[in-house]
Amino acid sequence: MDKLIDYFLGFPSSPNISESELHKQIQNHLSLLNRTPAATLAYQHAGTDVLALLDPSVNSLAYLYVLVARIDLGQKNAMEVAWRQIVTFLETFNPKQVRCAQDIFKRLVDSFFSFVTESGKPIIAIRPIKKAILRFNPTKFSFLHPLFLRLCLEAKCYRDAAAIVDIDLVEFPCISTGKVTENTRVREITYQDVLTYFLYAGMIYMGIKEWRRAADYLTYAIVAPGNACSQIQIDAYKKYILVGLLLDGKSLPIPRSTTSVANRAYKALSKPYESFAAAFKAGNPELLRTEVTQLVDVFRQDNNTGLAIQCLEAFRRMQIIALRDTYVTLSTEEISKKDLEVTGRGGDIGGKEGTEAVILGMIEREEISASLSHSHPDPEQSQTTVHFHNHPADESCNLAALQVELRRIMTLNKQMKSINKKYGMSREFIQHMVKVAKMSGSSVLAGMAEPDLMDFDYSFGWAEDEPEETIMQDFEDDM
Amino acid sequence: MLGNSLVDGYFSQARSDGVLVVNGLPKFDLDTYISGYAGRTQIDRLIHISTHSPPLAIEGLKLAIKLLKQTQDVPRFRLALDILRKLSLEDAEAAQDDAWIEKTSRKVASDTERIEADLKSYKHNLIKESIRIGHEDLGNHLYASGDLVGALKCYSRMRDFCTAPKHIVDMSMQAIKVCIEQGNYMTVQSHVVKIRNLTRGPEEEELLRPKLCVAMGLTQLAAGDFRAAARSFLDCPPTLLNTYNEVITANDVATYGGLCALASMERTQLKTEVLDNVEFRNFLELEPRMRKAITFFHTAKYSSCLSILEDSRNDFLLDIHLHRHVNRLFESIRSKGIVQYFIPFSCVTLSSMAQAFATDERTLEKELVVMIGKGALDARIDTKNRLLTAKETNLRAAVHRETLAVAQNYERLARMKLMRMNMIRSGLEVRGSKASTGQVNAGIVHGQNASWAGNSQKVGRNWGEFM
Repeated sequence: MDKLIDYFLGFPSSPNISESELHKQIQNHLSLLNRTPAATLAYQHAGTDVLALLDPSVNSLAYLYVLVARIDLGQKNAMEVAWRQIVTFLETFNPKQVRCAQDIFKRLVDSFFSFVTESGKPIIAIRPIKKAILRFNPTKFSFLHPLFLRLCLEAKCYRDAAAIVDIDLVEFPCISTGKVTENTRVREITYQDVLTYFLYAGMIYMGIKEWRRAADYLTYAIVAPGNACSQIQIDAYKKYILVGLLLDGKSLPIPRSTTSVANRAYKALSKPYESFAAAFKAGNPELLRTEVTQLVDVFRQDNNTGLAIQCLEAFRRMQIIALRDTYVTLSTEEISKKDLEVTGRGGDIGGKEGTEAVILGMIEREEISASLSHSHPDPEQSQTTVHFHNHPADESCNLAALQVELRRIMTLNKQMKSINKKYGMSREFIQHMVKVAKMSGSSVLAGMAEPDLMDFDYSFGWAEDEPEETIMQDFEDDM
Repeated sequence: MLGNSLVDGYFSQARSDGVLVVNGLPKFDLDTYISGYAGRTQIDRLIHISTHSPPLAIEGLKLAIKLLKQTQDVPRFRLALDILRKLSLEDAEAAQDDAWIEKTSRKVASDTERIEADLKSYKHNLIKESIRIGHEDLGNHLYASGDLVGALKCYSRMRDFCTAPKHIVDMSMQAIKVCIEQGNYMTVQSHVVKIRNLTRGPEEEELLRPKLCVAMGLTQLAAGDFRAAARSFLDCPPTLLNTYNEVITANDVATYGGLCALASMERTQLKTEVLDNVEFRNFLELEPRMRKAITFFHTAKYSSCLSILEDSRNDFLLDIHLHRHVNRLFESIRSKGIVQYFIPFSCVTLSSMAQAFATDERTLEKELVVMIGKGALDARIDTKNRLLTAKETNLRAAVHRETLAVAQNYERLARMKLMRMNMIRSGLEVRGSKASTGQVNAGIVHGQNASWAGNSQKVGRNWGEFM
């Protein structure tokens, strides 16, 4: 055992070695670890703890194997002891090493995950897993993503989750490439994982009331490709309608890229939501109230009650915002006469004072630019008037937002280029091109002139300095 | 006569059925009005008036029955008699003429038989011209005896036997007439287009143009496209006179054209295209009230204009083509007046505005709210100071906002497509019970093309050269 520990500590041989050398060492190391029986690994050395000797950031693989062996062999209470070490490990491990032992790593995370959920303390896992995700390439989807969001939803730590979901995914682990080494035993990522991730991400943003981003993530789930429609997608679509109401006051359209199967399923299965949205958009409180009484059960069944209640609360606010376009001044009495209160909570909130309070809140949150004025010092006789200001000329604000957007699009463009290049060199595409060339004989161009699926509203200069030459060379190499 | 309880009962029933009932007396004199028309439309109009206007109902029906007796249209005679019976029993008894019905029905039946037999023999002989005429005769006969569907069928059958463009024109004109009476405006439109596409001599052109303009105008009016209808009626040459009395009179052209123009045109346009229109002036002279209304609108005396129109409202409501659109026409004329009135102001008191449009502030305010909601009026209401103020627009900020929205939309769309593509690429499609690997490959290829959006052609060429 001492020898083993020495060996563990002797890896990697030095902190600065070349990539290929490191890879070789990792492979050797792994084969040794895989050979070593779990009992040996889990053995508690007299007096000294193996894990205390190992540094998780340097000897990550050994640390990982020992941890897993202990959990596997230990009883229920093994976790009680080990979880602190798992946390340390997750916060400091070396991603290069761990990437080669994905299956073991996943086992560790899975047992950790079930431990924290069973013990009802999901919150302790959030920080370490978040760090773990950031340690790997956070733009690449991994099995950690949906797990993490689930934890966050359970612990209601939406802010923590937002740090991860703010990063846009650009990559998914490739299932079809032959690059996977002996670690193929790892359960592959399925479309369900991805869809749940999108749904959860949408829900996280709903939690922090970022409706726009929530809608974006739900859209990803809605337009997911395929030849069937998943229940997850349908749930996403139902939420999408409600989020649309909160965002825009009307239901957002189904994106055009949606598959026809899914499209049909959405239309068939979310009728109640559509009619709710129609009533909401019509701006008729009476209609909305009758809709709501009919739909209470539907919302409860789909677990969307909270969202629906928020819609109803938003209804009055949106109607008041809409008044801005019609009136310069209006008394609160007039507004409360419009009877916009639809949450059905009763009490005074629908009355004059309630309306005034709502408007005051809206002004404070800068949802609307307006001011209130009382006509008389005595509140009994006073008439409160709302004065809607003109749209403020927030030029600097707009310009700053434009700058941010510009940067985002530039990043996107870069990502797009790298993907473009990667796919351009992929075997499938080249095979396709060869096939097209053969089929159409000399006129390759005809094959290329297919209508673009990517029907952006306007074209963007992708191709200023496209490295076609490099692609060509690679292509020749490939042959 | 007016106190007749049967009449009251009939019209209160009609009102509850959602039929429009015009209580006031129209400005025209029934006899003079109806004598302007010829043929079936006389009776159509009379029946329309009788079923919508209590004071004129019985008189109208009596007149209709009198006119019907000179035709061979038995079904309509019965119809008119039925309505009359509901309104006034004694008059119905007086008008009842079984002998005439008997005689006419028999005559119609025998004539139909004879013409059909003729047609059959023509068909045997295979002479196109005779067959065409045979169909036309049958069509005319059916038309006269009240079978519009049958008549239209016969006219359509003529199509295969037309040898000269003239024949096609004749056939289409017949069909247009029937279709207007049926209210089948889609067919009217297609026939008008058909005739317009035919080449023909200038004389014929001169003869046809007024009719075509009118038919097109009626179609557009029925579709609620007032601007297009106004143009069609304004284009109508004054040579129409009384040539198309079986459909429309020159007075009608003035009324329809004027109303549609008022509802759809700007003030300057009204001046240049309607009042200064040499050809249309001939029509307007027939309807001085209409001309006055348009002049008032042009000189921004909206309340006078509206009151003239309001006075003639009953006339319009009793018009067979116009009654369905009167409310919408009036509404758009009114709201256009409000918009035009407001253009020079940045701020106007509601009271002065209400005065200009002859209403009280409360109704005006409601109207304004609706108009602003629809986006027709770019203004806001100041309920405290009773003012209507124009919205200040900041173009620069608007452009910025727009740009931002476009950019964000672009990014969102791009991300979505990228995500989708990547999912296909990684084989993460949503699958049903069984998945096929071929699907995945096809998907990749598909997604691939997409990623080349901008430069796919260029690269394709390179590959082509390489091969």
